[in-house]
Amino acid sequence: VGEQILPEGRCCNVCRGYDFCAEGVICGENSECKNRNTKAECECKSGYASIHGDSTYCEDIDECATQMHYCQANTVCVNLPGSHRCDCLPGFIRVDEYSCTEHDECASGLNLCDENAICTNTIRGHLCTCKPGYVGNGTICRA
Amino acid sequence: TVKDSADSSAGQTTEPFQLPGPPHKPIVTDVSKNSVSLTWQPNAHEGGAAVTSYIIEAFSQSAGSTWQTVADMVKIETHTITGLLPNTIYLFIVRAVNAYGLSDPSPISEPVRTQDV
Ligand SMILES: [Ca+2]
Repeated sequence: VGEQILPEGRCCNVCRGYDFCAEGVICGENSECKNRNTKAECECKSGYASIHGDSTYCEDIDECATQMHYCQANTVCVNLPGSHRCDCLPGFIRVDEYSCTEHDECASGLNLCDENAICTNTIRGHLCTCKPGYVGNGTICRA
Repeated sequence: TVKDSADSSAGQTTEPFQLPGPPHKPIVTDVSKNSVSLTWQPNAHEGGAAVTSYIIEAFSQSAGSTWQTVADMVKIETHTITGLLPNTIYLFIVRAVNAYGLSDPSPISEPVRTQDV
């Protein structure tokens, strides 16, 4: 016999794990029904936020809005339904999904990294990290 | 909408103060053939809204010259990254996320080599 619970506003117990969503809960187009302990609840899909604090109706988060900073240095933010993209400025090269840099100092050989270091580009330059088993500041790596 | 973001120190309308500070350097706590476990301390400065999740990025010379996002929507200050290649050196960074956007990246973790096959 499974554990029994009394759902909110109901007369009678149900078993734990009861599928409330299967009863036909109506969630808006950008929202999904989720089963909780004692009831069903609407939850905004990833990349969407509730309108008026009620997750039955959700709208796309505009990651490119003026006050937002989801995209970092040297990018152009492009808003998408449920997500966004950070495109590199023309001629800039990608550092990660969120930032770009002007010069590929690692590929060009214009870097200070020891041969036993790993070079990573940053938005303003580059960093050198000694490989495992080596110690140093990256410009110098000793076994 | 499309927004230009030329340089993080010039012409930004977002107050940098509103963004979370970067997490502290992530620490490797476990390594296997295909996974690495990390833990990190959040920055004391949360910014204009509470930190709601973290993004983890990985760098490996075998995957090219950019950092790959390997986890997002991470809700706690510890995570195991899976699906990694064996016998491969990885670096990791972590960013904090609040309603205004992403923090700068944390300092880079110590480099870690996944176990051999
Ligand atoms: Ca969006």
